[in-house]
Amino acid sequence: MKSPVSPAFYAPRDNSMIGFTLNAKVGDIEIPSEVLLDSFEGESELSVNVQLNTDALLERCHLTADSKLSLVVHLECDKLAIQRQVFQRNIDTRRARFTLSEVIGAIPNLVYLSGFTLEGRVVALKPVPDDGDDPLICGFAGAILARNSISAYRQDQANILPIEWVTFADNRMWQVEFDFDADGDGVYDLEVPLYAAVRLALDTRYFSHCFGPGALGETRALAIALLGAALCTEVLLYCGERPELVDQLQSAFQQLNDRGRPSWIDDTSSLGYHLLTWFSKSTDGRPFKTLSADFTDSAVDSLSRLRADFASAAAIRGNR
Amino acid sequence: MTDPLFPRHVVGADPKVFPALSKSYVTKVLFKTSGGVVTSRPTYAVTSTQYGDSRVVRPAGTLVSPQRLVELRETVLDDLAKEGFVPTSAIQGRDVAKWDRVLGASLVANLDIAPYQRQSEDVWTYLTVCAFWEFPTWRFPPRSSGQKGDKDFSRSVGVPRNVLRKCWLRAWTLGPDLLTNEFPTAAPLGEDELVNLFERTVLGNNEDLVKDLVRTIYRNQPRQTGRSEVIREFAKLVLRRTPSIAFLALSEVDRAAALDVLFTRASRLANREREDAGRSR
Repeated sequence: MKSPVSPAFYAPRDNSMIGFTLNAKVGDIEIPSEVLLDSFEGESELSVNVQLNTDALLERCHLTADSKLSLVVHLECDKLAIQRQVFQRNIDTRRARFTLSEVIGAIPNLVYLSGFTLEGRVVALKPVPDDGDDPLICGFAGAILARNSISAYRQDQANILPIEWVTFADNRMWQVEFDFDADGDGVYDLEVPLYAAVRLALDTRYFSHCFGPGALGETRALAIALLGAALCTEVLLYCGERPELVDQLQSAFQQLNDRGRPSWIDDTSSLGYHLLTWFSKSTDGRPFKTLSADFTDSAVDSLSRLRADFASAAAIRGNR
Repeated sequence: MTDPLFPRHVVGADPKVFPALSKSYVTKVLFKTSGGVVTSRPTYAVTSTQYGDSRVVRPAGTLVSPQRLVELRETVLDDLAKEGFVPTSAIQGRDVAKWDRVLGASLVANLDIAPYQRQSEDVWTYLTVCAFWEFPTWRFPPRSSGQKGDKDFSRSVGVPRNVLRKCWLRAWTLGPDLLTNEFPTAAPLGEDELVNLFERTVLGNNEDLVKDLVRTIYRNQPRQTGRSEVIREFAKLVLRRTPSIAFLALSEVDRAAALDVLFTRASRLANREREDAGRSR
């Protein structure tokens, strides 16, 4: 058998050719999904459904049915710095098709909410080549013959709000922090931690252009508006039942937005204008406290709306 | 309930949340006059009643109390003192790795940090600057009068080379003895060797894989002489194969065999490089 120093080998380029599909659910939520679990506590069951045309795979890889194959599920959560093989099951190569549908274990909601990528891999534990002379036939143990992945977060697309959970990821470039010690007596006025509400970070994969060298005042103000909107939503999601907290945040947000009238405010072609218009329409000038009743009834819908609106705004920005 | 996909210690049972501090604030404001050389208690340090500087951010969750932070500091200092390390006294070259291991073991034993804060630069910044303020200068002192110790503040702010963070992560992943408990005759990995493994996140984040790499190293080259260059090549060889080889899918025996092959190849590459360098001199 070849050693792993020569890893080039035949592998199918298209999963549809080998009928390799991977579906996954966290609890009863199919991923990928923009629906968030409503708690950071506890665990949910992670289930996967895998289909594979074993015959087609062996043929494409130039292997015989005497080969030993395995299905492996690998999970990566960058924000928690976790990479782990979480499941492995042997594939019966004598059967034409392999199917698997089962709960593979309990996943902490913390991992789910931090976003993760689940990758199904077909691994050759013992490849048996159908033609020993072909140098491109996989001849070493551990080779990944096929892979199929699902991400529980879609940060590479524009339809997600450009905020991150409080993860303090390395790529953060800008964040908003409120000073809750308004009277300067050294005692924080907001004693109850707000989780995602107080510190929100922009995902720089979308917004690096906003804060890079030469970024305009508009972009900075835009970020403030976005964060304010996000803040509002998150507060209402998590703290909607605490009017006193909402009051304090409303006041802090007001302060943030009162730092002068930016020049782009009347420029109808500016992104800031569009976002602020959206924000003002959404809130209709009402204080957060009043809005909380609307939001808490359908908090997830509100978040989805906010994301959709951001996607439009991002599209406008991209076209300018 | 179904079995968990992560050991409980990975996700924590009821960990405490630690305060945070912006690294830019530290480098631009707090270190403005000291240049990052801190040997005595600064004004922004944690006390038993206050978290320290007013810019300290308190994330949500069950926040650790200032008193507990003070106790944590004292416990860690006690653990170091038991091994003969006195704060800000020069650490002899041969004891540097030991200092790192004692610190890492003590932090793992006493720092019950929430999983989502383990990668937080701002939390490690806070812990270093406000609770363990003299540690960066203690471990990385200025080499001559007037010279900065921690030139780029990377030992003080919470980047991966932070003096606390790196020791904690290594001890967390490999255990307090860096797996020498399994290989009693092996010399524990040194600073450069650990950097080569842990600062490649595909390897460093994969606890199971990095443990196997360390076992391979101890098995093949227990002595430290000339090992650093080999580990560098070895880490690169494994890293480049992770997209095509699922090492962890292999049985323990097959995995060890595959990694041994790569280690041998890495040794050859390192030797060749050494010879080339010798010829060019």
